[in-house]
Amino acid sequence: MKDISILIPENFAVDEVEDLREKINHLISEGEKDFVLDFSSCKFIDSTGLGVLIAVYKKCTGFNGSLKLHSMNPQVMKVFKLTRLDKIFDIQK
Amino acid sequence: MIMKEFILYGLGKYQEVINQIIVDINNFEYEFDIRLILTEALTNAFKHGNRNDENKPIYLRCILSGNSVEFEIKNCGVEYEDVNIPEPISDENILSNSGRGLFLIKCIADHMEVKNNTLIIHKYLTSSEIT
Repeated sequence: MKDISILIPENFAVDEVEDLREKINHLISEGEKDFVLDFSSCKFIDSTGLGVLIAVYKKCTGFNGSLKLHSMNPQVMKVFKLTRLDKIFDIQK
Repeated sequence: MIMKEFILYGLGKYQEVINQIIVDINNFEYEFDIRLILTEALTNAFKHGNRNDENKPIYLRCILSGNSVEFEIKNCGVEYEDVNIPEPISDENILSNSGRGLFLIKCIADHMEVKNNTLIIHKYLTSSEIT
């Protein structure tokens, strides 16, 4: 099955993360399980954003699906590195 | 020295306040760090301190002096002495859905302390940081 690509918003923080959770939950309920998250527009992420990504990751892998992240700017990547989540997620250039 | 004080009810206007502080600090190199520190501190004060109650105020004081900035964020509830800051990078907690906010502040700020229900954060604004 083809990966579903989703664009992460510029400010992926406390007040904007629920949209992604709901969108992916809806797609999973329709049978999709392989997702690619495009961070090329994302300039900021906080711990709430990380929490939603982890919840999505657990759900995808629970269905034997996959979650890939790509095109992350260095500042956003710094947050993943500080929390060691760069070791968990499949982050591509 | 510049000192500014804000009172927030809920998180409806938190981005507006942070943007205003970033303009005052006028240091592009630290924009991301300041935004992260304040987003985490205000979110924590609202969710854990004020128990998501939008009728309770969050007091934010920003003191910009020379090459450093200090933030004081006071909530109406939880005393921070009772708050345990987990180490989310441990193998046990790495996939926890929450618990990274204060940890990230500790990582990025130069100093963080708690007094009763106030979080005090100090950040130097030098030009030598390598990101």
